[in-house]
Amino acid sequence: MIRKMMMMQFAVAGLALAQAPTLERAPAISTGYKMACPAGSRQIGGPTSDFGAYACLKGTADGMRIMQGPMVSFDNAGHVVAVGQMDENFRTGTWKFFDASGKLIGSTSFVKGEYSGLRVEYQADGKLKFEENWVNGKRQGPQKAFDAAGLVTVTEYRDDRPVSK
Amino acid sequence: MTRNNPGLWLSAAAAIAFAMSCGEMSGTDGGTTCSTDATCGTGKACHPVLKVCVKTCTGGSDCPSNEKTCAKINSSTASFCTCSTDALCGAGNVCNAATSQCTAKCSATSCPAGFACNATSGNCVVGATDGGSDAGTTMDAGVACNVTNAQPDTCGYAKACGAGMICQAAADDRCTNISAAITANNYTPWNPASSTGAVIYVATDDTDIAAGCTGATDVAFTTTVYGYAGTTLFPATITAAPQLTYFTSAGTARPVNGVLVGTQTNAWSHYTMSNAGKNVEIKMTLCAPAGTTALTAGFAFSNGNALCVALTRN
Repeated sequence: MIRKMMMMQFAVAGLALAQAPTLERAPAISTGYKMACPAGSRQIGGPTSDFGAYACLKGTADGMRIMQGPMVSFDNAGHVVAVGQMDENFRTGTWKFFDASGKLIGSTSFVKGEYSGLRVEYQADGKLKFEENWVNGKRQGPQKAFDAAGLVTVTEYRDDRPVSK
Repeated sequence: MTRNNPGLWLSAAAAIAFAMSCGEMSGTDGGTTCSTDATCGTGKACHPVLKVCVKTCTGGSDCPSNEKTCAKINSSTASFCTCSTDALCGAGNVCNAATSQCTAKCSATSCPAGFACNATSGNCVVGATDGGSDAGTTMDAGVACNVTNAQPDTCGYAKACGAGMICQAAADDRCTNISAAITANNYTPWNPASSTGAVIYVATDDTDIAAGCTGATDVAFTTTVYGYAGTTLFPATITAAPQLTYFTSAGTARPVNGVLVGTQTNAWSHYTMSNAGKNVEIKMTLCAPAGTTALTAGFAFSNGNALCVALTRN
């Protein structure tokens, strides 16, 4: 049974978080931008390439081609929509995601490509929409969802499923 | 990781092009009735709805242009050439919902057992349910659904709409790619009762897009994976999406997200989210060493089912 708690302490915490809208903007990256590619790799792609991204590509002795280091993804119009790091073709660390206007819409922590760590998404006004905790691709522990007024609903998860208390 | 493993390199591709015209049911052998595949000749199997022997396929290149998708029907062992839309079957014909083959519009007596002819659409629809009083003269209808709707339509998690417009269990394949991945701890078997990951309900063998492979000697195998969300909706870009993994024939895991499956919807690569994040299609090209003529690819989302697709050079 899904059990959601609307407890006062959570509501207060939610209001505090939701009242601090994010102001972060997408980095200004366009054609000609030089990324800090790791040694042994080269920069490929671009805002208008078929790939739709800048990435650092390295080859290996057995012919494999691997993305390593920073990566920036663009939408069809060349706007930055994602910024993060790759490790041997897997997303790693914290990635940030932006809409076409450059507004931060969320961020996700990855470990070997899987959601692992904090994953947040923001509402149109910049206030928090949800705040999730992931471990190796599954939600674990308290998950927070915020409504437009900033009230928070906290649901406890185990192995990506809500648990009864 | 060696160059001996086909599909070393993921890249991207363009839109599906099902150039089709209409024709007869493909590959039937004149009406030899059957109940099992064993009664059919070489290269044929018992069609689970028609109950006649029909030519089997291993990939889209085996199929006529109007029935270009090689797929299993109602959890059949063999794969058959199937159609996708009425339009591709040509004027006056329909993509028969009962058989997944192009046929003329139905009449009152032309639909298979368990189906009735809808006079408006000219297609066979699920017939009377079996209430138990007909001594088995009509089939259990199961849950009716529409294959043209966003999946899982009326079917719910772990299922998808199949031939005959009836909900079927989603595939959870164990081709060599997947079994090897399980052995190597690269894939955790899916449990429909408890897993929460996105479900892949079909993957198509598309026209290969050579531009997707940048290697001078690589050959391209292009496919599109179609999935629906589990408990986490798909975001707008693949770089934000739950992990999608391609498993090689050796069971090696190759992440798809961000690896040259681009964001440009007008380019040869694309990831397309739809239905407010409930559905997704991901087109990609697997690049294999020169000389490779066939490739079996395994795919799975994080905590999702495994699906294998046989790809041919086409």
